[in-house]
Amino acid sequence: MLDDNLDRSLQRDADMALLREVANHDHSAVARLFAEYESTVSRYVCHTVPDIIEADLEDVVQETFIGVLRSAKDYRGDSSLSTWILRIAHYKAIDALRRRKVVEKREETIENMSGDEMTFIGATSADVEEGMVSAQDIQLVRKALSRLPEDQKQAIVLRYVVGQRVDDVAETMKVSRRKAELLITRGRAGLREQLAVLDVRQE
Amino acid sequence: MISLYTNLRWMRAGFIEQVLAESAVRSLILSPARRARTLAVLLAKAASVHSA
Repeated sequence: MLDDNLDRSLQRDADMALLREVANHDHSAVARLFAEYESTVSRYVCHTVPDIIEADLEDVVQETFIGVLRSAKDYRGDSSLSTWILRIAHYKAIDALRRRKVVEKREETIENMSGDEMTFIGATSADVEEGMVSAQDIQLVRKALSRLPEDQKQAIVLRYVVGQRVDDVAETMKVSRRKAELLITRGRAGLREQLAVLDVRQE
Repeated sequence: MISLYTNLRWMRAGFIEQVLAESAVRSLILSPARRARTLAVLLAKAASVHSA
């Protein structure tokens, strides 16, 4: 625990130093910051804006780092640099969502069929033992994710896509640890509910 | 008559988390060309703000 706190403290010092250089528009510092955080920002944005194409991703990543550049002088080290950058990325991703007015097409198999043509039998154990993750699994989870309330989606993405600890999720979202835990738990339950509907197999 | 079944894999402990982690690995990220272009824009921005 002490080591953990020491590591965090050292990391904050390094973050502060880097951001000071970025605030002074030191080119090598800007390049280091970008190299270190671009993929994290990209992954976060991809899971926040459904079906984003690379050109739009480039725009959002660019806007995020321009935001970082502009706000670097205001960084006080109250949160980790990663947390701080992801907060900016979140606002830029939400802006992109609003701009695009993404219309989620409901492609549920059930909705495409009339009630008298089908019988819902229940659950199948097919594939239960299989541990492999397919491209279809990923598509289904991303679709289910896009249907969660925004705060639950953000908590799930930060925890399981970005890989933040619960404390960092709370810090990024500016909520209590208890609330972050609750959002993650509800988000997981919401994903299960959505996936039970989305991943129906036809006999 | 069509019969539908829900896939039980999603109910298995840890599977959703496993898929999310894999989704992160397979996530779209910027190509080297786009990354280079974005960095160039940032550096130009930094230079213009610095000289202003």
